[in-house]
Amino acid sequence: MSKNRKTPTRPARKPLKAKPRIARPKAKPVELEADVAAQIAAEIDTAPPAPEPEPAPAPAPRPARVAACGLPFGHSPVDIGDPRIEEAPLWAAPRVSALRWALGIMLISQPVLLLGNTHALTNWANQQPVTPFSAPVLTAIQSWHDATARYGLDQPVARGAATWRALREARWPGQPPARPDQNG
Amino acid sequence: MLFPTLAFHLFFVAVFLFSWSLRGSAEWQIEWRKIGLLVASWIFYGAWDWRFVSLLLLSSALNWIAGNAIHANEGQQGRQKLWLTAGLVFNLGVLGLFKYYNFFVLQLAPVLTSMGWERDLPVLEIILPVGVSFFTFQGIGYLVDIYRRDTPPARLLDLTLLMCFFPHLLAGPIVRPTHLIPQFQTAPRLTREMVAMGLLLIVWGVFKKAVIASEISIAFVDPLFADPAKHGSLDLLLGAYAYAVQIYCDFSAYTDTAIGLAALLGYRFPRNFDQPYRAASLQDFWRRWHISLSSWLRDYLYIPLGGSRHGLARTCLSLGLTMVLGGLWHGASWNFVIWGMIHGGMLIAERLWKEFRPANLPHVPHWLGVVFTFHIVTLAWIFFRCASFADSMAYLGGLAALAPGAVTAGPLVVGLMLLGMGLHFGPPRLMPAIALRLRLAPAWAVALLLAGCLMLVEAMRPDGVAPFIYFQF
Repeated sequence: MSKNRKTPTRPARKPLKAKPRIARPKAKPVELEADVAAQIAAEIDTAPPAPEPEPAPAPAPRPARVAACGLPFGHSPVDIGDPRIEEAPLWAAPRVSALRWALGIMLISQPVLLLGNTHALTNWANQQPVTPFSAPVLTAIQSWHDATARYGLDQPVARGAATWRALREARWPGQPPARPDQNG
Repeated sequence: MLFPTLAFHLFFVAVFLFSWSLRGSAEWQIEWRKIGLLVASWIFYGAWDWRFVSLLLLSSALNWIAGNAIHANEGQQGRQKLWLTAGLVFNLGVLGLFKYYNFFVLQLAPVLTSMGWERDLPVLEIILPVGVSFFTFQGIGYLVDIYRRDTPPARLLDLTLLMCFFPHLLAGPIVRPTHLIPQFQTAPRLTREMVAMGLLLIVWGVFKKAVIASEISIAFVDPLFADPAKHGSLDLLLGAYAYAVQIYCDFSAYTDTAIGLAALLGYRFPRNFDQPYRAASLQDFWRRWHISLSSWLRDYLYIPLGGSRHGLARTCLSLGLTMVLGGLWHGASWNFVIWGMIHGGMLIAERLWKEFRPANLPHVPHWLGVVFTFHIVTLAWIFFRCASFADSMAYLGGLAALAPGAVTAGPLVVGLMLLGMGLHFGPPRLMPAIALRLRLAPAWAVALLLAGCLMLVEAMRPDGVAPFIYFQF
């Protein structure tokens, strides 16, 4: 690029015309004649006391300063973006309403958990007291756990638990093994 | 009923289906939805102890009466103050009776004996209602807000639901009436962003509680604090760090789960944690740790005590008093008072340093501020965790002795501690960024991911789940 680029020259400013100043007459101090001043003073002394001002009406109660919509947007961790902005990449699923989407997640995840997470069910059952009412339920849970285990559905959690147990029992070189109360 | 349990899982699925079956904006649908949520909250609380549901009801009803009376006496300052005082006395009375009565009686007895007035003061054998500190603070906040005209009086149903709403009932966050009651008065709104972020917060909360906090607690912290004399100084130092990570993962897990559950029901709760251990000063720490409590203490205690508007001496006094009372709020024990005094003392020191710092001194590097603040907070946590003052001194004595000894923390515990600390220095917008991606995925993919995450947590968690630490407060 040329360094000697011409810069556009500004048009010369028009000289500002000074506005004609309007001369204002100076206020003269009011001078009262001595007898007039004495008359006013005498009237003030003899004048009846001014009536008490009427009490001002009580102020109307102020409206409560309440936020109309509750927590302002951005103050909650779930306010993660402007909901008005719609961005849909190619891989995005067809838009369904948030509620239908949430219901879909709930309704699909429950059977998956029922099949693959029977450990949670049996752990819960093991903590319940055996009563005439609970006994059939607890037996059914154990049967369900056994049935899913026959198909290997318990394996992901079982293998994960075994790996985690091995990590829990790992020690530093020369460190004594963990006491039983240290192993959850 | 604890969040990361099967019983709560089934309970929440039922509540979710019920509440969204009444999703319309007709008046009767809004009302019945609230009634349903209220009954669900009572069932949730009653699963722990049915008797205290009546205490919740009584507290809500009396706060409602006092709030209406304050509002009805608009323009009559004296009467308003009388009703406000009555309401505060009731709320503090509940707290005092259940939480502090025995503590003060036990402190008073030796004082009276030394004065030659020996009496057997009655000690009450009562259970501390779970979450009593949280719902009484909500009641106090409601009354003061009405007195200050920050909120109009709520309907009985709205106020009762505000105080009993199960996601925040037991351990916060302390939700202000101005934040939640307007949300109760309209049909709740659900967006895919709320669902995605809510699910992420729930899964992340369950992981932090059931895996990180529980593992660190069972495998290392509990045995260490039970008998600190048996451990070397390095182990005790690691134990203090471990407890700092445990209490963060435990408490933030509760509030993350609470915020996520509320979001799935269409309600938005305020943020309660913001990577607190990356704070470079105590003042900064309290802007990041239990934000709903620190802002409550600021608005309803620190500012009425004078705040920073009446000179430096008054500011320091207000700070110290606020933190000591904040410490006592956590529990009736001298250890909590000392915990509050450490925080209050450091806040005062920071204020004085800011005021009188020589101008020619260089500024402390940010990283040094972070390290220093973390260690002050960790020191205070020792008093918070130990059962008594003597135990705390034994722990600190062992730490200062520089005695050699074996390290009992295994590689897994150390790894989880590093993970817990690493959470503070990761990108703060990571989770929202994941949620923004997740909201675009089809429901079946998110469902499989959710089930996979929960199964992973099931494989990693220790047997059983200990209650959240903040339940005792």
